[in-house]
Amino acid sequence: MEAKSPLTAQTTSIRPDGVEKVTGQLSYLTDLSFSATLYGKVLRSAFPHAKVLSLCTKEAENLPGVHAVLTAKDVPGVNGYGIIEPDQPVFCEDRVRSVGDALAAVAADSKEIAERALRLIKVEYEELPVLDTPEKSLQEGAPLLHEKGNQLHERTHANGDIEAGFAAAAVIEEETYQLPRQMHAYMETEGGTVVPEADGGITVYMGTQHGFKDRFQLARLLNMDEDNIRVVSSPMGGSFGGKDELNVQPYAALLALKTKRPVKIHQSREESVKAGLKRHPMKITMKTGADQDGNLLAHQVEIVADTGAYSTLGPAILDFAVEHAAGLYIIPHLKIHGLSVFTNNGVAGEFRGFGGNQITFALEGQMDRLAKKLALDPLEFRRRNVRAATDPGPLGHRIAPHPGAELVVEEVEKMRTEVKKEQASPQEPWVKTGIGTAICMHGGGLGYNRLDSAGGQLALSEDGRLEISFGFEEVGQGIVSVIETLMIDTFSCAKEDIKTVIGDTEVVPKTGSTTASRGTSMVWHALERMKGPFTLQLLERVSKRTGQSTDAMLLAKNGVYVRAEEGAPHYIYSYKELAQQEPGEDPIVVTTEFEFPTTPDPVDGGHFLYTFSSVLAAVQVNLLTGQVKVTSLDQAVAAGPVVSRLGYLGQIEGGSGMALGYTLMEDAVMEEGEYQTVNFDSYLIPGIGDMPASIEVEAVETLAEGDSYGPRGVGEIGTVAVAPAITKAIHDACGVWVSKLPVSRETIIESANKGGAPKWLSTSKV
Amino acid sequence: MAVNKQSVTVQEPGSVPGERTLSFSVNGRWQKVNATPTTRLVTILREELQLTGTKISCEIGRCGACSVWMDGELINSCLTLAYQVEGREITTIEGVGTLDKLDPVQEAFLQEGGFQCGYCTPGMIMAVKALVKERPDPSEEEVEEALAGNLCRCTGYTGIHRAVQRVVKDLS
Amino acid sequence: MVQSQHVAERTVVWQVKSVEEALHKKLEYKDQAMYIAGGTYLQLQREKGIPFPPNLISLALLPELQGISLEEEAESPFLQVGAQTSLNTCLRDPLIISMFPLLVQAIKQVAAPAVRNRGTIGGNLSFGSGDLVPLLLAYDASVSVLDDTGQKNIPLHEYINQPSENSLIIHVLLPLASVNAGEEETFSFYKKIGRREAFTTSQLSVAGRFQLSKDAKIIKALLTVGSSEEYPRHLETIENWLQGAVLTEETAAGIHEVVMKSYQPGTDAFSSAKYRKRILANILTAEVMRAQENASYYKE
Repeated sequence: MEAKSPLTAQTTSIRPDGVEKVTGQLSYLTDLSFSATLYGKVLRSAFPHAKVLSLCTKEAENLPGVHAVLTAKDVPGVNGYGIIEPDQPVFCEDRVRSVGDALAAVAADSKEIAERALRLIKVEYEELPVLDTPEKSLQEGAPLLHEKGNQLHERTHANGDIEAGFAAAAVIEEETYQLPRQMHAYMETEGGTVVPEADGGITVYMGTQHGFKDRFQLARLLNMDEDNIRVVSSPMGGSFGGKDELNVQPYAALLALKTKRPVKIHQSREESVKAGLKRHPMKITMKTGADQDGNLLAHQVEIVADTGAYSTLGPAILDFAVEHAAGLYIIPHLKIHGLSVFTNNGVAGEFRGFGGNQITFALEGQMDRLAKKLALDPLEFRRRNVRAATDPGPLGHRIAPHPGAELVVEEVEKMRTEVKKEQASPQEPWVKTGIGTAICMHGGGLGYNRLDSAGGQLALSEDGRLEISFGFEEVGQGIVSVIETLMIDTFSCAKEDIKTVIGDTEVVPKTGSTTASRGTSMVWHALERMKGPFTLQLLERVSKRTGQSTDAMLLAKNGVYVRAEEGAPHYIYSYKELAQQEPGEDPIVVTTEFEFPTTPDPVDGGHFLYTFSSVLAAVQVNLLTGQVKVTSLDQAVAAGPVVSRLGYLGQIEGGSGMALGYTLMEDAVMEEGEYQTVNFDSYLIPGIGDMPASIEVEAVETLAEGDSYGPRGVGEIGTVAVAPAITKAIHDACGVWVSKLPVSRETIIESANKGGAPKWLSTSKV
Repeated sequence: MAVNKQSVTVQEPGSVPGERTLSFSVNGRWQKVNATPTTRLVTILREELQLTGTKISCEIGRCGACSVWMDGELINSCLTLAYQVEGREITTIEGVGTLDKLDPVQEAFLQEGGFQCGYCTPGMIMAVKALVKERPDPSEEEVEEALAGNLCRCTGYTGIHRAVQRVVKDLS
Repeated sequence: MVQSQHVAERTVVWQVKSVEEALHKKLEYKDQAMYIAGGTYLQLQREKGIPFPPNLISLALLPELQGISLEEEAESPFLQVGAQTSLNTCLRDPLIISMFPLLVQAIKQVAAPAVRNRGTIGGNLSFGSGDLVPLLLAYDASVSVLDDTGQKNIPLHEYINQPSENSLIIHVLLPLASVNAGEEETFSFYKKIGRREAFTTSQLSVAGRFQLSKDAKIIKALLTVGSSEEYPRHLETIENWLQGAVLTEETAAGIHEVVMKSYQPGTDAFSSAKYRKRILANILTAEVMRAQENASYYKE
């Protein structure tokens, strides 16, 4: 079965949260206000690495309007957090390891008083050497950042005989690629309010990607029963992975419990930059060999990731990079080694793409360089080496068959032909145009041997709606749209018949995190499991009340219908009537729990469901200044059937924009452990003028014969293969290979104008 | 601090520190608010008037999330001070369309996917409205110029381009 | 009641009604006061941790600082732009559009519309580092300022080199001779290079104006630069080198070399001195080529 469709907004329906968003009526959690609220502020370290000799809060406590000043001694439970390993102190006691480290927190009548109180807290530090590169951290004799040492995680993978592979190669390419520290730059910074409840518990109104995980972590550090903590966590003004880990929840919670009043914290942009996660900077060295016919033979990879001061999901991100180091290519001889290293550079952690963006930039760079050496068309070279639908996964493990790799190569080739036709030659002789392509493969879900359970709940609500509940969060990605669309698909019901419940641990089932492109997939799987029993329960109730046989009935708009021998079914019973419970009737509720599909092979972190994408980029490179203007950025994505067309389109378009920023301008520059870009005047993200005005998104919906896994998520894949497509386009335009992001204009003009006089000078007229 | 007591009101030649009554119009209704003259407009809107449709994100005029209109012109409410608003007319997103009757710009954003998380959207819509008011049929370049101060992290701006095109079509 | 963000700060805002009163207040409070117009820059600085001074002297109610007029009767005619004129008002002004199109181009590259609706041309100059300064220097602009010695016109380059602490800019004066040199041809350009397409600080802003003789010789060359790392200034060595040069490919190549030898810019976290030097050399070479192409001498 072949299916593909160019996505346009016209073929879509609007999102359920849309009207409230465009009218400004939607209250984000940082918009809520509660009476008698105090304002919280967190004191962060003045140094990236230091001993804390003393900490005195007396003066701050005495400031009128201050209600509480808390430090490490006030943490009743574990003084630490971290999704896997709680090694990030809630409050540092004797040592700070990054400028984001917290030392104290204040609750006061106003934000201004809280700010003043922070300035009155006296901290005596003794500065320690700043380990601001993984190399420094790994040096012998370097101070140890954690008891276990400076190495957070190591992962290897090997196959075949690497030396034999290189020995047989006709061409070998070796290059080191460097990737920057990208910031999520969600428009809404972290924050919200924690409200103490009468029963001694708390309600946390703060965004996160996994409410239950926050609840678990908060219970651990508050030494409180999980049942006493309610987390209301949606909607959010963006997250992209950045709000997956705890941020200011612990401080607001501790302050609220101490003062017995609601405490609001909403980080300023500068606080957010200093304390927030970033994408891992990586240095990736690849040596790749192919034979004369362009068949890949050997691939050796060395990855060093700068994970910053604490673990969070650093190990899993490295695992992901190692897993995708050979990506969608079949290479017989592999040797991959990855290291994730602690430094004093903030904290790196989860970010849309999860290590895939870094490794794909390097991998696709290798493919383009090898194709050039072999004088092969870059796509032809890829065609000779990409996986077939039933080939094993990149770690040699069994995965769900998927024909995506070959299909996206085909699609991008067509796109290239189109764009080549349309590409105008610029007037100025120093502006050069070029086209580049890149492809990728991206695993969904958390992977083998990772707790990755999912689920869902369907019920008939008291007001007669089909109530669907998930523990997923709405970060902007449109999960509410996906749920609504799949509900309508499944039950042929009307929009008005659906009640979607998410984002509140009090009322939703545990369905796992809203990460790893798993939401769409899990909603589909849950509905597949629940639709039968739920429909039956509804029909049995109607049957009991009306005497109609369940086999003769079906669900549709507003209620239950009876099939007719001829013509349309006729309506007999409304959901509203059904909801009026009669004596002896039980509530209609169906729940399901299951695991995200994983590979049967015991490969730690190995994925099972993968998506594929190909990107075409066209650029104009100005050789006077090195400025790069991206004129086309089109993408074909193979991720199974499209659920919410507007959501799918938006994820790929938006992912492309974020990745364009990663390629051309974004870097949270640090010097000796200090951020140099603390707001949007120096940390630049793309503006409207930096993006092409339109992007072609091609959805390749084809799945392998008999595939039973349904639609895959596309939250990440749109960001993965963009950078190498753009840098290849730059090469096409001016012959400069870029191996470091963001693209250095200086490198472009220095390389393009080698030998002093600018090339364009003598050869051209204006 | 010595203060000249003879000129103490905002309307008069001078002013004193501390709070005073500020009066200005918000979405067509006259409001009286107590604030110091250097309080930011965004703080007044969000915290005093509970108009939280106007967002805060960078607080230095570099993202546009707090964009509102003052006397019909687009401004950053984080860069505008209370005394500058005295006697002026402010329009926020709450003054543009309603849940039941959307403004054409809002309708276009809905139809074309001009937003995702929605946090930049109120400011973005104020900027698009300011654009089409002045240029009913803007070129691509004019759209880019007009929206240069409004950052969006979700859409890649392509949905916003489509929304503007739809507004232009609907209005013509 | 709403508290100011910055409660420690007890700033008085003086709403003065005449320029004299403004100056009087400034002389009274000296470094304890600043003039404020749109306030976009001061508020930005305040958010970054530089508090307002105890006194702000608001220029909002002063009509003499508003408006754009052509002063054709003067000995050297000029366009007079009130210092309080917002940047977006400048962009819409027919006189500026027709006579100083490069200024329009430059203003469009200052911040974004919401900021330009509040930010003023006087404000852009008064901190000495605004993006418009290089171009206005190349236009030989003057400012009319009021200080304790009275009101006087002084060349912009003098003002930015030695700003008198209390002086108030009343008008910006743009000489018409800078865009219309009568018999002589003029070639002008302005380029701002930032790290993205719009709304970005300047890595390098460069403006130039060549007055040309009939045989494509540069009679007068004005060349100015500015950036986030460098206060706007004339590049005198290069101006001198250009003086008397003829627009040829040799000149285009030569200026590249001169820039590479003589220009000494700074480095910041985002662009090296070497990069700034290289792009200035490249841009100037390209502009000389373009000037040559446009010169009527080569067209005939």
